Formats: sequence, structure tokens, C-alpha cells
Amino acid sequence: MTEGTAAPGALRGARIMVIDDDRTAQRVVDGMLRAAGYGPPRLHGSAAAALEDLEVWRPDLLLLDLHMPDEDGFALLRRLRAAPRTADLPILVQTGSTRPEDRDRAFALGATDFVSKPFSAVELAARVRIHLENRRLITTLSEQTERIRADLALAQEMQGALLPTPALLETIRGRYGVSVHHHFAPSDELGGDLWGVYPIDDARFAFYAVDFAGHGLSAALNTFRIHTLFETLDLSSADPTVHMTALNEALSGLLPPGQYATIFLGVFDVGADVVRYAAAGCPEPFIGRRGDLRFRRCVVRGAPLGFGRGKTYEAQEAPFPAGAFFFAYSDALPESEDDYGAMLDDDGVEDLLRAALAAQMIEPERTALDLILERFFEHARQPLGDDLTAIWLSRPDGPG
Amino acid sequence: MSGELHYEADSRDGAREVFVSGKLSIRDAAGFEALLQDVRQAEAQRYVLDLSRLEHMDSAGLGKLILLRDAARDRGLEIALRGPQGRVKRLLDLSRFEDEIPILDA
Repeated sequence: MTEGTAAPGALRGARIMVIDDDRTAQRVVDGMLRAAGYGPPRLHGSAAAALEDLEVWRPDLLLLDLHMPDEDGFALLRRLRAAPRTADLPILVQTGSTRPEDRDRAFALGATDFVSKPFSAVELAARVRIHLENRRLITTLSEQTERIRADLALAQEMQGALLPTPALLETIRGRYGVSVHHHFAPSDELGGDLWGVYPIDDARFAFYAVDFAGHGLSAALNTFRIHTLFETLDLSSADPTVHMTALNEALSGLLPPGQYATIFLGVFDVGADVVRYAAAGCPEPFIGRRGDLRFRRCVVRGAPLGFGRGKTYEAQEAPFPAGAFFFAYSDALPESEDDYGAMLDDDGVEDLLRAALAAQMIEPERTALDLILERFFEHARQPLGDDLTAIWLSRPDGPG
Repeated sequence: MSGELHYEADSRDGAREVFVSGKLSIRDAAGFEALLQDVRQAEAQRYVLDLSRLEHMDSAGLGKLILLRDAARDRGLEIALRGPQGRVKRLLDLSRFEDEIPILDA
């Protein structure tokens, strides 16, 4: 057999089925395939027998003669293409006919390729090899795609596990009287947003929300990095500027160039009724009181984590008394566009918040976060182009 | 919205002025790559990136400016930003970007 047409090692075990009512023709094809290095093909003289065998023996390639006694080869071709199991099977049609319309019709019905009898051993081997190789590549590719999909699903699950558990949020509510409502939706399978809460003592807990630039795999890997850093961070000083500096020093050594994170890091103190915080480049969270349309923006000016070592962060403080709320969100909220390409922008987020607080006076059973997101999704073009995280912390109204 | 990132450049007296327009964001890889090459090949001592016509920049865009800064540093090139407007200006301000690259008024 000529170099280039013989079966390469990987294809020698390929299963080939031949359907031809002419015994002599069967024997010729059988001999050609064996000579090319393939194992013995399955030979059938009728469509009925072949169809029965196809149920149990799954060929990698079918050689089909168009002129059969019991069923017209064209009809069989149509049937095979309609059946899910053989819809993608390479089918090499062979015929004694040289009429172009037969050829056209075979292709229209889904033939993969066409050979006219008589054909040489070299031609048959070359065509068989091409279609088996294609099939092998497609199978390998779809297996790889499936594996990547499974890996992504696993990574997504692992990333979900980084977020606070319902049990932890229940602890925050029980111990500090602070309710946490949250919304987290990555725009790809994996996102670059992360948030968390950590109890410090009976009056104080830390809250952080980070957003790594970009989304997808590289941003997601960074969320694992910062989660690990938080798990090992010494929060005993309860000083957000100290924690920020520690995070920046650690991350600046870990992150590849051009990658960084914006962050809000607050220590909520329900004994002193304040939140002390430091922030760097994140969208400005809002702090206010339920039922009061006057609220304030947090000061977030600061170098994002990962710009480089040696940065310092300013300490900020805001009141967080009974009845207070705190609302943080990622930049998907101000930056998502509506159908006309207009962004909500910072003022738009403020309007959303004001409308939600007003609506809550009429519908007190609904959470403000629900009301904000409901209005947001009415206008935002979906799917969103970036990860959306929104967190709402609130304290119940005090007595009286 | 015009979308992709474009730039026009003008060199004189050892300074290269580059006017960028469109969007500097996570989506546009090719436009940014061209700009990065421009920094790497610039025959100048001073490189001014004029942002006054930049319509939009997202957080990934800020990371890209850091890459431009690093590329400029590698070549001993003095780099500055000029004239950011609107939300671009605000993003730069919130992240104290003037500590990374000097920002000039328009």
C-alpha cells in the first residue's frame, strides 16, 4: 500500500461496515481494506440486516452501495441521517452509476463522500483514511470540550464555596443583629468578584468586597488567591488600613502585571455604632438609614491592590447605628448599558437606591436589594458583560 | 458608541503624543496590543497619552494602562496621561492613578 493511504496505527482498530448486495464487490472491498491495514470489516448484503447490526455494532465508518435489492440506498441514507446514533457517522457512498444527479442527490441526503465503481485500492484506502481521521479528531475535540466544561463546572462550584455560607450569615445576624442580603452573578462561568464576612469579637466583624479586573479564568484564580490571604489575615487589630496594607503587600508579589483588584474593607462595630473602613478604587458604597432618603457615599479613593508595594490607605469612618444600612456593589451596576447603549453611571445607582428606599416605605416586606435589582434588570441589556455582586447589610430599628 | 480602541500619533522634539479614542476595555485586545507596540518602539524621551477623546474605560482598561506604564519604564521612557474626561477621569481619580502615571490637564 502506498505511503499516506495505509491505515496509521491509531486507525487500525477502526470499525468499518460495508453494505453491498454484490458478493463479489463485498470481497473486493474486504480485501482492499485488509490490505490497507484495517481489521476485518462487517459485511452486509441488505439494508435490513445492516440496520439490525447497527443497533449493536457501532461502526466508525460505513461504506454504502446505493443500489440495494430490499431498500433503495438513498432511502437508507436518509434513515441513517435521521437517526441520532448514525447522524454523524461518516458514510462513504459507492455506486456503479456515473450520473452527476446521483452524486448530487447522495450528498444532499448526507453522504460524507462518494466513490464511483470501479475504484482502485489506493483511492478507497485514501478516502477511508481521511474520514476516519476526521472522525477521530472530532471525537477527540468533543471529548476535550466536555472535559473543559466539566472542569469549569467544578471550578465554578469551588468558587461558590468561597462565599459566606448561610450558616455564617446566620451567625452574623444572631451575634451582631446585622442582616446580610446578597446577589452574586458571574458573567462567565467564572468571575472576578468575591466578598466575605469574618467575626472578630462580640461587637465587631469584618466585611470585604473585592473585584479583580476582568473576568473568566484569570480573574477567578485571583479570587482564590485573595480568599486564602483573608483566611490567614490577622484581624485582631481590627484596623482596616493595616489589613489593606497587608493584603496589598502580599498581592503585589502574587499578581501578574496589569492585574489588580478594587476593594472595600470595613470593620462594623455594633457596640460603637460605626463602620471603620478603607477602600481602593471600588464603586462607592452607600450608607444610610432605612426610611431616610438622605444617605452618604463612602470615600473610596485609594490605590487598588496589586498596583505595587508600599501603598498606604486612609482610615475612614461612618455612623452605623440601629436602623442603618450599608450597600456595596460591583461596577457592573453603574457600567452596564441599556438597550440604547447608555450606562446607569454613579448617579443612576443613586437614583435606584433612592427609588428603592421610597418603594420600601410602601412595601416594607420587600428587601431594598430586591427592589434595586428588579429596577436594574428592567433596563440593563442582558446578559451583562461583567460580574455583578451586590450586598446589603442592615441593622434593625432601635427601640422607640 | 464607536467601540474599538484607535489611536493617532504625532512625534516631535523627542516627545511622542498619542491620541486614543474609542473604548479601553476588556473586549478590545488588538487595539491595545498595537498601542503597547507603539510604546515599545517609540523613538522619544517623552510619551504623552492623550485620553481626552477616550469615551469609555472599564476596570480592565486601568490594568492595561499599568502595562503601558511598565513597558515605558522598561525603555526608560517618561510617560504621562493627559486630559481624561468624565467617567474615565473619575476611575483614574478613585484609584489614585496619579501616583502611577502623572496626569496632565488637557
